[in-house]
Formats: sequence, structure tokens, C-alpha cells
Amino acid sequence: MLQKLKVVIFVTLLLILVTSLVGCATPTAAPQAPATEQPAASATKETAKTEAPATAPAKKKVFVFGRYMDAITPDPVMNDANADLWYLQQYYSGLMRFTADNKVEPDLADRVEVSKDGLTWTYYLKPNLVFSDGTPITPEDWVWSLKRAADPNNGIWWFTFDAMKDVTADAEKVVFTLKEPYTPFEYTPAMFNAVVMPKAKVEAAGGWEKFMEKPIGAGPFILKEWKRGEYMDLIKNPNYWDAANVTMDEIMIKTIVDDNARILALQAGEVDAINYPPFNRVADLKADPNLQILTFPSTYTTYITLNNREAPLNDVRVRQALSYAIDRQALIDSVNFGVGTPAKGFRAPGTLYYNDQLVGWPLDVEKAKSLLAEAGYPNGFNLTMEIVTGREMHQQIATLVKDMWAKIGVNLTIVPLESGLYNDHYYNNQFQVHINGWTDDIPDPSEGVSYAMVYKTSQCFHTGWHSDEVDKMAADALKLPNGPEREAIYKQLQQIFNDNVPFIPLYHEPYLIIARNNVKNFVQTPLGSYIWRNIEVTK
Amino acid sequence: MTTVASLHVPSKPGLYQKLTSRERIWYSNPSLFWGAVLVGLITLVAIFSKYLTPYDPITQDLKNIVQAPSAAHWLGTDQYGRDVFSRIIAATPLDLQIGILSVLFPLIIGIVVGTLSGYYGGLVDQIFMRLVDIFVAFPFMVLIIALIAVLGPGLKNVIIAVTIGSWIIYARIVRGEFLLAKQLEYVTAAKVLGYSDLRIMVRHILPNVISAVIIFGALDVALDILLAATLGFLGLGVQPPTPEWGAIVAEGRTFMVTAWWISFFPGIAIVITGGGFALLADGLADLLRTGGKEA
Amino acid sequence: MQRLNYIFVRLLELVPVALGITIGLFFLIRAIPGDPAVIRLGIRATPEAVANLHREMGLDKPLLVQYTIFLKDIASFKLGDSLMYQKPVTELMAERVPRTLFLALYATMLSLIITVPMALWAAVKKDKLPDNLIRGGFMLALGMPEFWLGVILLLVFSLKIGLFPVSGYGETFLEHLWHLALPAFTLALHQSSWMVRSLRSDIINVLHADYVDFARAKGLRERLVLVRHILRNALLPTVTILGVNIGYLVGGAVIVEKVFSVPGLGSLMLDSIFSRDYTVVQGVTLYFAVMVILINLLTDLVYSVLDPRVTLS
Repeated sequence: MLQKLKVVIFVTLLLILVTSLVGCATPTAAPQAPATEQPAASATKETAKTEAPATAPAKKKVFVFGRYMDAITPDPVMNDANADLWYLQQYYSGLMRFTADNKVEPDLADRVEVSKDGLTWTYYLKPNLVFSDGTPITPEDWVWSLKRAADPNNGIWWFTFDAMKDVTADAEKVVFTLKEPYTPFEYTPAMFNAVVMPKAKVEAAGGWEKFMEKPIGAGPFILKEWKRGEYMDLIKNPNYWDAANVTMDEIMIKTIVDDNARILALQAGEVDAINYPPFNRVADLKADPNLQILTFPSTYTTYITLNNREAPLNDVRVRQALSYAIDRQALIDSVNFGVGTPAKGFRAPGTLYYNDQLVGWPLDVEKAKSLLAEAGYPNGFNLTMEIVTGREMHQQIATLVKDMWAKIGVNLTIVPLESGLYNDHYYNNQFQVHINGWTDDIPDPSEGVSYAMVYKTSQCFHTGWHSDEVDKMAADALKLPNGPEREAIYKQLQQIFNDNVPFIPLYHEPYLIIARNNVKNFVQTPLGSYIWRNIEVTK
Repeated sequence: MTTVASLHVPSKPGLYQKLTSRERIWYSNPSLFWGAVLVGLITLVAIFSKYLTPYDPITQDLKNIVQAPSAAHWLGTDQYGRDVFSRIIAATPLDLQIGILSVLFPLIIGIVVGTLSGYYGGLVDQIFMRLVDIFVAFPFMVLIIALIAVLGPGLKNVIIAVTIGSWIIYARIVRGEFLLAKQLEYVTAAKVLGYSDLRIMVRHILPNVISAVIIFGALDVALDILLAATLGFLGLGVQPPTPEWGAIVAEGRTFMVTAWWISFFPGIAIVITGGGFALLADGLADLLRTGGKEA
Repeated sequence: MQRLNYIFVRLLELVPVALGITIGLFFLIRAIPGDPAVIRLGIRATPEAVANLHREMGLDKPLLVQYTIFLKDIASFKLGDSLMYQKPVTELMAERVPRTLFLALYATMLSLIITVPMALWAAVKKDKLPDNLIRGGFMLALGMPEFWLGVILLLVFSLKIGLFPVSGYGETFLEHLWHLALPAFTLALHQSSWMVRSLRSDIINVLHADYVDFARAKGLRERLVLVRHILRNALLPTVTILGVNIGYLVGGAVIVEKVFSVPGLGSLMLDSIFSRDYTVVQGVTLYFAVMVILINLLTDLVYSVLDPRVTLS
């Protein structure tokens, strides 16, 4: 018996030795960086059906991306996480697509015509469109995909189609008819839920749950393989209408949950770029000669939610006081290590109809104290803030704000809760103070306004604040075409918000991507999705 | 009526006898010695922690964040500018408390249940053994995390959760000892002589049982401190800004590369404390088995 | 024959225990406050969206109906669909179990490699310096929290020295060994600490037993004595500890998986509790319970094979 034991020990030691040596010899497990050869294919637009490129097999051009969270349900209609929706349009396409600056341009469509009354939107299709497997995109596919996205029983994104009455399609065009004029509709066909899917193939696979693991779309890439928790492997779609201009042959999206591990992978060259680096690393990573810091404007805003339903938070002067007592720049410096800008309102600068005349709440402790006294609380009061345990950012903000509010006599008790419970309290309005964040999902201000100021959507971020006048203004603005009248309404709504401050916007922060120096043309749109068609990883 | 002089029941030399015997057991048993030294040291630090912190462990100093260890801050500062050394010292009584209470409560419950089950046997014992089967096969971490999710995080609830999760182990040990002891001659003799059950249990059997349990308990203190630290690491334990070793390690995790000292030093504190108790347990076990010298 | 009987009875006992656990868990996890749909949607939760998700997740049915569906599923060896991933729980687990098992076995192998020589050395040099250092060292190692040790190893060996990769699992068998070396070592260190104690003391007990002295008297070389007679007998109780440890590990070493980003069963379990993915938690718990019971059975059997004096009750 001992002989066996000895053999086992010896063999295992040998294995460990061998693998360490193997490991040393090949420090990166990821595919090597690609060559600099450009595709020799012609620059003219190819027809939709293409053969394999006629050039000699060049070294494959691969881009490796490290993300902090894996996809959960990457179906265009049924998803609800950024980790899904930001990546869907790598392998799905629709009529339109977003550009880097939040405008829309044609994708599978050729051009769009809108009727004078704004009720009929006609999208003319490019000729000979096919899915990645070569099968033609039929009118039935369009109608099925769009109706599925519009069905209020499906998922949470159907509201983008709320104004739609019907959709029809034929070989040349897709036509939407609306119930009433709805200005943001120009963005609807560019969104991730408006992509076209092959109806027959989805049904043949046994439903969207099975289809989403081996999907067939019409996007610039194909999802070749998805190993949950590890990686998604995308390869170039030769049948994409614009395949000639897609620069990468393969994109490998690796999931690395741990922040330190993700950064280590980047430094070791195992990945070419990562998202969500912790802010405290920006300074030392900046100093790394192999890396570059990329920031992209986002609409992400952090704010403190106040439950307006009960005293003392039901008094607007109290809410104003709390806002004036906060040193937003200090928060940005401590929590984000300086990355971000103080919020002057609840909308992010750069968004459509942002009111740049707003003054916001520059730090003013004296004013805060006098407001409190005016409201009848000269000696302050007690408040309870719930945060999510283990969430570093919550903890930091809570700790710093507690100090700041102590200066005006407000005694804050911090109660950490497990995340499930925290969400529960939020949803059921059982809280006094919470911390939340918001990103726009469409480039139009209507969504943000709806969640923040229109009561029926979600009780104004569950603050319970309510204004009939605002509800009406927001509804009107949806119908107006873009122009000075619409702009005026949205600017006024922002002013009304600042006058009432139902919740306290703290700061905006950009998307942060850290990439190796040889990565060019990495794009993240303000809505969060990545545009990787034109990425280059030079030698 | 005949009166019987109290029966002199011979029992194995228990822990207490050995520890107080004149034999220089301490020197031939380095585990016991060093374990006691470390535990004693930690206990002293815990008792006098208020006087040993050069800085207030909670006050922030945003001008001095993430400073490396220096003369001013022996173990550096964290991301809020708080002195790491002071925080570690301040956390000592808390972690020690967690460790000891997390053992004390299950121990008491376990002794009661285990005694009843082991001594009386029968149906009580059968039910108990079924319970043991179920608890043993239940993933421990799941139970703890689920309990804390229900009760909420924090010191008190961690202790409650760990008590619920571990009492059965103590009960099982106690029961085992009772089963063994039941068969010994002196117990039979005592029964024949008409001593009440309670008296037999308490005076004759329990002392031996206690030794076994204390040895395991010392080790368990180490494990529970680790568990509390792990829960703190997951965000489910003691909540910031109250210093607790595991929570401090968690706080420093995002800074591992730029400010390794935040996570490193509390870990050392855990190792010293946990290791100290483990050494103590090891030494006690050794003592009991060999009487302090090689048999 | 008797052994077969024993196996049969033990397996039969497995059923009520495993069922008892899962049923208890069914109600326990639903008692935790927190709605999985609300959690998943976060800031985007509206009553309509939540209602839609409830329907998708099967949570719109009354509790007793859900319970009956659950029982029916178990009867047909299914575990339902994950609430988060819309995938059958069995598939999710099938992806993760091999990784966790690999890590568990790898860690156990490493721990044996560490334990046996160390225990032998310590036992032979009892009470001298090597013995004290080994015992003291491992006791201190018991005090090292896994999450702390893991992070330090990662920092030193992955970043500074670059010997091992930072995360992930690798493609081939060799790559698995390479990627999982650090997490396996972290786990192995704790396991070894337990086993060294026990193995060492058992070796010591056997070192001067009658049959050993007899072998010496016959003129057998000390090393052969050590190995052929002592080790074999001393290993027995350690087998039990090994069994318990493996049982723990196949449930997924939650912390180590988190620190090293190993997409195994432990991290699935952790995430599922926080997201209230009831079906996954139920499924993984059932798997764990069954595995622990099976491994205990296996351990007892191995014990009885190694030591003919042991009879199975």
C-alpha cells in the first residue's frame, strides 16, 4: 500500500513541477496579440453574401476584454442587466444603431421617412439582408421581433414601444404606426431590444432561453461560444452588411469578477482592456507606461434618496438644507479619487436639453443651518440611512455624509443591510434615506424625467414626491417634436426639481476603461454599450 | 438503616489536576506554553485596548489617507486616514468577545442536550442522532449566511447564527463521552448504591466530559474568530466603522496593490489570536493524553 | 455480504435525510425577506416589471403549489429552473461541479503531499526542534483566514513574481493545474493543519506498539518498519478527517472561489443566496447533502477495508 502512496506522491510532485515550467514558458494563457496586417479585401462595400476573404491566412486579429460581470440573460427583450444589454449589439443588429455621441444612424435600414403628422415611421431596408448563417431576414422576422419587444408581458423594456400602435413589414421596408406623436421614437429602433431575430430558429431551439446561448443574429460578430462565468468568444460575421469595415477577427470577453485580479490580468497582458477599475488604482495605473486611461461621458449619477412622505423630510427646506450641507467635491475626491463632477441637478451635463443655468447646491453650511431653523429644527434631528453591506462606495459615502450632516445638527445612524433586504425596503418605501444611482437607457430626457419626477412610474424614485403639474408637463413634452418648445419644458422641469429636491443628486462620473497602449478606437457610448467594430490592437 | 460513607469514585486525572500539578509540564509542552503566552498577550491587549491606541480608531483624517507605515503611523493609515495600528488594537476586544461567546453559548446548550441524550439514550438519543445527520449534511456557510440575512448583520446576530450552527457539535462530543462513561464500572456502582441520576451525571461523569469539550472549545474559538472575520470580509459581520479584523481586511482589499498594509496587518492579528488558541488546544490535548511527559 | 447490506441500509437512510434538508431549506430561504424579482431589477423595478418577472420565475403561484411542483421535480430528478439565469439548475450545476471537484481533489492531493512527510518527520523527531516547529507552524497556519492568505498569495505569486495566472480555469488539464495551483494550495494548507495533528499523534501511538517492536526485533530496517507497519495503521483515523474535508470541499470552497474568481459551485451558491435564487440554492444544497452522506459512507467503507478489525454496525 505504501508503494502506491509513494508513487502517487511522486507523480503529483512531478505534475506540479511540469505545470510550473509550462506556466513560466507561456506567461499568457490568452491568444497572442495580432499582427498589424490590414485586411487585403477591397474597400468597396461587399454584397451581403460573401465568401471567405481571398487573402492568405493572416495572423488572427483578436481583442481581449476583461469585464467584471458575466452576462445573465443576454436576450434582447428579456434582459435587465448592463452586463447583458451593453454587449448584445456585438452580435445582434436592428434597423438603426447609436453612434459614439448618442445620435442614431442606419444599421440594417437604409433610410427613414417620417410622415408629417409624426404617426407613421417608414424604414427602408438595405437589399439582400441575411443573418450570420446566411439565411435571409424575412418580413416575418422583423414583425415577430419587434412585436415581441413591444409586448408589455415581456421583460421591462417594452415601454420604449409604448407609443407604437402597430408594425408591419415587407421585403423593402418596415413601417411603424404610432398611437400619438412620440418624439423619442427615433431612438427606439436603435436600441438593443429592437434588433431582429430569426423567428423560426428561436422556436426551433426551444425558446429564447435556449437560443440565447447559441444565438443567430445579424450583427458585426457571431457569438461562437459562451462558457458561463468564464468567457464569451465572438468571431467576425462574414455576412454582416458592413463586414468589410469590421477590423477584428475575434473578440474574447473574459469575466474576471475580482477587481485586483482583473487589473493584474491587464498588466500581465492577458487582457487588452478592462472595465470598472477601482478608482483608487487610476493614479498608479496612469503611471504604468503600458497602459492608457480612457474616459467616456456617461449619464451615471449618484444620489441620496429621501423618503418625502414623513417629517422631517416632507419639508422642502429640510431637504434643501441637507443638500447644501454636502461637500460634493470632497465626496468625489475620497470616493472616486477625483474622478467625477459635482451634480447641479438630476440630469447629467451633455444630455439633451440639459439646463446649464442651474446653480445647484454649492457647499453652504450656514445656509443649511438657517434653512433648518426656518423649518423648525434649529437643533437638528435624527435620521437613519440604510446602505448595502460590503458595498464599498455606499460605506464611504455614508461615512463622509454622516460627518457633513453632523455639522448642521443632523445625527445620522448608518444601518447596513444585506442587498436583498435593502432592495426590498426601497421597493416597499420602508426607508428614510438610501443611496442609489441612475443611468439613462435612451438618449432622450423623457426616461430620466419619468423615473425621477413622474409619480406613476416609480413614485419618483420611491421618494413619494408628487406634482400633478409636473406629470402633465412631462406627458406634453413626450408629444412635442424636438425644438425650442420641448426644450423649454425640460429645462423648466429641471428647475422645478432643484426647487423641490425630492432626492439629492451628488455627482456624475464617466465610464472608466483602462486599456493597453496598443488598443485604438475603443468606444463606449453614453448609454453604456460598446462599439467594437473598429477597434484596433496594433503590435 | 445503614448509611454508606460517600463512595470514593476513582476518576482519571482531569485537566484541572494536571494543570495544577507540580510537574513542570509547561516546559515539556511548548504548544501549551506558547499557546498560553499568545492568548494571554491578546487578552491583555483586549483588556487595556483603550490605553494602547495612539489614535482614535474611528476619526477620519482625509488629508492623510493611505499612508505607508512610518514613525507617525506604525502600520500606516487606511483610505479614511485612520491609523491602522489603532484600529487593530481597538478590534481586539471585539474579536476576542466574538470568539469566546461563539463558543460559550453552543457549549452550554451542547452540554445540556448532549448530557440528556447520552445518559438517557432511548428515544431522546434517536431523535438527537437524526438531527445530527441533518445538521452535518447541511452546508454550514449556507446556514450561517441565510440566518444573517434574516436577522441582519452585526455582532449580536453573528453570535446567534454561529450558536445555532455549532451547538450540535458540542452536543455530539458530550454525548459521546457520556456513552463511554456510562459503561464504566464506577458508574454502575454508583447507580447500584442509589445515587440520583443528576448526582452521577454532575459529579462523576461531567468532569471528564468537560476536559474533552474544553479542548475542542479552545480550537473552536480560533475557528470562530476566523469565521467572524470571513463574515466581515463578506460584509455580513460587524459593520463599519466599528473596527473588526475581518472587516478591516475587506476594506483594504481594493487597496491590496497600492496600500497592502491595510489588509495585511489585521490578518497577522487573526493569525496570532487564532494560532494562539489552536496551540493552546493542541497543548491541552497533548497534556491530557500523555500527562505531560512521554508515556 | 454483510458489507453490501450495510451499504444498502446507509443509502436508504440517505433519502429521508436529504429530503428533510431540502424541504427545510425550501421554507427557510423563502422566509428570508427580499423578493428575487425586485432584487434583480433594482432601480428599474416597477410594479409591472416585477409582475412580469414573477410570472417568468414561477413565483406568481401560491406557495403550496410551488412546493408541489418542487416535489414533483425532485421525483423526476429535475431541480427546476434558475430564477436568475432561466436555465435548468442541473445544467448550471453541471457546468460548475467539475471545476469545484477538480479543485477539491487537487487540494486534497496537495494536502496529502504536505501532510504525510511532515507528520512522519514530526513524529519521529518528537519533542525536538523539527517537531515543535512543524506543530507550531501548522497551528499558526490554522489561524490564517483563507481570504487573507489567498489575497497575499495572489499578490506575491501572481503579480510580483508572475508564476501563476491571476484567475480563471484554463482549457486543458495542465492549464487547470496551473490556474488552480494557488487556490488549491490555500485550501490544502488548512486541511494539512488538521491532518498533521492527527496523523502525527497516531504515528506516535503506533511507533512503540508491540508489533512494531517485534518487527524491529526481527531485524527489519527502521525505515521499512516505519513505512510498512506504522504508516499503514496510522493512516486510518486520518482517513476519516480526509473524508470530512473532501465532503466540505465538494460543496465548494466559497471564499477561495471568490478570492481567486474560480467559477465553481461555491461562488454560485453565494451569489444565489444574495439574489434569492431559490431554485439554485435548493439544488446545490441537495447536491451537497447527498455528497456528504455518500462520502461519509465511502470513508467508513475504506476504513473497514483497511482495518479488518472494524465491523460495520
